[in-house]
Amino acid sequence: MPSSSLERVTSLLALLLERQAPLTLRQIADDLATMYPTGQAALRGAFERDKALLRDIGVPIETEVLGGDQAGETAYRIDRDRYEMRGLDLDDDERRALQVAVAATRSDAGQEGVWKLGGAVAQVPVVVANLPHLDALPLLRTAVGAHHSIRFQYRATERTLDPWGLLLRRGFWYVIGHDHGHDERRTYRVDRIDGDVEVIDASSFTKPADFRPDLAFPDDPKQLGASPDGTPMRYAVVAVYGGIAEIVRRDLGEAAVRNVPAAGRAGGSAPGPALFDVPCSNLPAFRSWLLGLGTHAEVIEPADIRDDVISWLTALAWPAELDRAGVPG
Amino acid sequence: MAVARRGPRPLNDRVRRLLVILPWLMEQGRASLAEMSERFQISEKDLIVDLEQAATCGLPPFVDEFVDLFIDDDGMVEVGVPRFFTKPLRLTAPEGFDLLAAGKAALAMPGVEPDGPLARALAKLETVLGDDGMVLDLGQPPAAADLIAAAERAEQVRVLYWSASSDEITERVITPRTVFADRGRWYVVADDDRSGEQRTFRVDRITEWHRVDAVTDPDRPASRSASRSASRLAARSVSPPTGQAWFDELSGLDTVTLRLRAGGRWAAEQFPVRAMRPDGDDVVVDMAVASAGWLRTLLLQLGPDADVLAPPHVHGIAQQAAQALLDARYTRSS
Repeated sequence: MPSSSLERVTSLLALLLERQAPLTLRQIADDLATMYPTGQAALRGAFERDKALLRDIGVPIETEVLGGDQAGETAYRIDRDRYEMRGLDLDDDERRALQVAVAATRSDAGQEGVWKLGGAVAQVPVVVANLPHLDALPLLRTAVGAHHSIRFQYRATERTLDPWGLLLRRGFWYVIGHDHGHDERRTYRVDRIDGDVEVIDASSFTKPADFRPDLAFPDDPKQLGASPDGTPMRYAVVAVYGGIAEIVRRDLGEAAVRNVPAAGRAGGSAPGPALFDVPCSNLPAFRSWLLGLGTHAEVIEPADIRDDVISWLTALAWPAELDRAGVPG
Repeated sequence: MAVARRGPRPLNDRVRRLLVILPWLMEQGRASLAEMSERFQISEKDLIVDLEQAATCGLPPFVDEFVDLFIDDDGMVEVGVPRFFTKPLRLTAPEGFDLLAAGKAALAMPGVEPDGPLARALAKLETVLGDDGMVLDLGQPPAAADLIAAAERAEQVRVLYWSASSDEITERVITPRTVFADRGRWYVVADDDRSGEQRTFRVDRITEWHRVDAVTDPDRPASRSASRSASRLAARSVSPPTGQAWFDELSGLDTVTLRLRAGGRWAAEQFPVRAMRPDGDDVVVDMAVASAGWLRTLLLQLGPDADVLAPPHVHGIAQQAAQALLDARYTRSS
C-alpha cells in the first residue's frame, strides 16, 4: 500500500472537512487517488476502518443515502459546526486552573480536553483526588443535560429514569431522578448498573427547579431510612472509651456529644467513656460504623439495637452453636 | 497521566494527538520540537514522524492543499498557510465529563476559592457542554485543610494518630508531602519521624494536630521562598497512588479469600479486590490484607455475611475478635 495509515486517515479527514458536500466512497477514493487500495472489497474495508477510527476519537461523520443520479448510494460528510470546538474562550488563569484540576485528578481524557482548550500539562499538585472511572458517566451526564430519559438494568430489573443529577459521595457515583416504574424519586449507584445505559432520544422531562443532588440523601449513611415526612430519625447512645472519642467527636460533631469527661484523653486517672447520640436509622451502616471502632465502642441503648449487635457478634464468636452451614474448617 | 508508551503507538492515539498539535501549531506559526514534545507529552522522534506524515497529507494532486509545514535543521517547526486543522475538534463526551468532574473535584477540595478562575472556567464549560447538576462531595475531615497547607510549605506537624492496625494512639511528628482523596476517604502521605519512613495516614484518624514551631525545628526552611521551592520539590517527588494501584503497591501483602453473601458485597466495592468469581448467589473474592487489624475489623463488620475460605490461619480471627468484643463490652445483660 503506497501510503501509511496516519496519512490516509488525516487526508480523509481533510477531504471531508474541505468539501462540505456529502461524498460517496467512489468520490472519496477518486479524490484520494493513490491512498486507498483499488479492489472494491479492500477499498471498503480500509475506508470502514478509517471511518471507525475517526468516529472513535470524536469526529462526527454523518451518512446520508443519496437520491437522483446516485440513488441508493451512501454518502459521507462532516459538518464543520459540529466538528470544531467553538464558544469556549477561556482566559489564561481559567485555563491554568482547569489544567491543575485535571492534574489533580490525573485524568487522561481531561488532559485531552485541556489540550483542545489550548492548555498544557500541569505538574501533579499537592492535593489529589482519585475519582472512580465508570464508562456510563459521560453518557449519563449528557442525558442529564439534554433532559433525556434513560433505561438500564439494575438488580435484574429494567428501570426507566428521568435523570436529574449525578452525585459523587463517599467514593461512589449516584444517579438520582424520577423513576417511571415506581413513580417517585429514586437513587441508583452507577457502578451497580448492569450493562449499557440506553438514552431514549425522543424523550424529554422537566427537572424540578430546586433539585440539588447533594441534598437528595444524607451524607451520613447511618441516617438513611429516616424521612422528613415519614419515619423519624432513630438515635442510639454509644459509649466510646479512650482517645478514640476525639475522632468520634470530630466525625459526628458537637451536637452528638452527651458528656465528655473533663479529664480529656490519656493520662493516669482513667476517665469514663464519652457518650454520643449516634444516628442508627440505617442499622447495617450503624453496626458497621460501631464495629469499626472495635473494643473502643459499646452501644448502650436502645435495647433492640444493643441486642442486634450482641447477636451479630455471637453468631461470629460461636458459629457452631448456631449451626451455620458453609463455614469451612 | 499521558506517559510515553513503549512499543508501537496505536494509530487512534497518534491521530488524536496530531489533531490537538496542529491547531496549536497553526496558531503559533512556529514552535520548537522541544517545546512541543514537552507540551504534548510525545517524544521528539515520534513528533517528527507524525508531523512529516501530516505534511504529506492533503488532497493530491493539488500541492497547495497540502498541510503546509516544515521542520528545519534547528528543530523548529514552521507552518505556512494554515489549512484544514486550524480549530481543535470539539470535546468528546468523556473529555467533557472529565473536565467538569476534575474541575468540580478541585473546587470541592479544602482551601479553594469558591469563585476564582476555576469556578469561572467551569461556568464557561457548562455553557457549552450543558448544565448537568453534577455534584462532587469529597468530604472534608477537619485536619485536611491544615495538612494541605503544611504540605504546600513542607512544614512539620505534630499529630496524635490512631493506628487501627496496632490499635494504639501515638504521637508523632510528620512532614506531609501530599494529601489525597480515594474511595471516599482522605489520606496524607508524610515523612514520619516515628518510623523514619514515608507513611500513609488516614486523615480522619488524626485526633490532634499542631504545626511544629519554627524555633524547635532546625530542619524547617528558614524563609518563605525556600519553603515554597521545597513544596514544589515535594510535589514532584511524591505522587500518591491511583485507585487500584494503591493496594497492589503495598508490598508483601497477604491475600485473604472470602465468600461474600449479598449483605457483604459492599466489601468488594469498598476495597480493591485481586480476583472475584461468582459462586451461586455469593461471590468469592481475593483481597489484599492491608494489616491484621484491618482484616479483623472487616470481618467483624461483615459478620455472618462472609466466610473466610483461605488461608487457614485466618479462620479464627473473626471468632476471636467477636469474643474479645463481647467480653470487653457486652457481658452485662441489657
